[in-house]
Amino acid sequence: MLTIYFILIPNQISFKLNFYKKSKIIFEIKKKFDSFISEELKTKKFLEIDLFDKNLDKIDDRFLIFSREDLKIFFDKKKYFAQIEDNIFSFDSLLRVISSLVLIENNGIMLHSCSILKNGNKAVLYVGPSGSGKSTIAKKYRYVLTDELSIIVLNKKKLYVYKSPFWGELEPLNYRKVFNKSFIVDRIYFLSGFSDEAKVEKLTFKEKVELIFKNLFWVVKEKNYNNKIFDVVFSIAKLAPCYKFYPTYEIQN
Amino acid sequence: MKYKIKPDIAYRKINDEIFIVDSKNSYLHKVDSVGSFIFENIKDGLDEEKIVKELVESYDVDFEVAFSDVKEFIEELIKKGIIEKDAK
Repeated sequence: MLTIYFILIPNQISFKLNFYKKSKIIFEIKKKFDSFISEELKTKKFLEIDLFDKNLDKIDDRFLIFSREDLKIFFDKKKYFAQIEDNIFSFDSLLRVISSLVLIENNGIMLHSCSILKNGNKAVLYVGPSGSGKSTIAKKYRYVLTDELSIIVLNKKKLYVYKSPFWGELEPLNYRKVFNKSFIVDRIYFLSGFSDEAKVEKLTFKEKVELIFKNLFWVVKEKNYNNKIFDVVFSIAKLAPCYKFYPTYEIQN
Repeated sequence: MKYKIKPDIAYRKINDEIFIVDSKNSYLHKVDSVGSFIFENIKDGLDEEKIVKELVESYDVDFEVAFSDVKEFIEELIKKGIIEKDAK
């Protein structure tokens, strides 16, 4: 068995990944997730995930929480188990699904968005589905926490965003400025389509809730989690200044 | 006929509207004020006939309109997996 640690939230949450079969992708994992991987435990809290080959012995289906052709995830209230195809894409999906669950339990969510740092340590998020312009916007900035999937956590009535291990086109750079830190969310812009002139529109509370839900990364269906999602989404809608944003066609150049 | 909210459904009210999280695909359903009225009466255990009567009284509409609205809305909620028949 080989064990590595994956740090989701610095100093707070990490995963202890136990590989029970010799995995071809350990090197790829360490390379792709680089600053998020550690050989030793660095947080007080950690979640254990046992990884098995997809075609190996069956795990009790009662604990099944997520199923896809290349990936099955189980949870017995104490630890996670995964039957997974030995490739980096399946592993990335495994991390995304478990991260989304763990974050909800810790008053956090994953939002389809790029998050960038502007004016010092203030984070601005641009939220939208694939093709809405997230990566295009992110490419114009130096300090990018992610161009695809932001990690947002509520803590004592403040909203924080972290460097994300999940990205699309732009691999997160290891600037010391963004490493191991949390950043206050200053504004959230919901990308609403390109326009001849850049426009920003205010949103009602209801519109904010709808848009946050629409862009949430959430794949596990279970009532307790759904109730918790409502609580977190409502809090974010109350706390964060949110706007609809129509960027100009020019940013595509 | 009585109906009940399925046990895996989560919902919240904002002003007059109810937001429901679909258990199958995490889709957020929005229900307007009349739908919210019907939904809350289902939640409170009223049967279809009583809900129609409540709607007539509260919204000052004809019985036929209320009956049709309630029937259509209940069918939609069943189709979306949000409510089911209450066996009790």
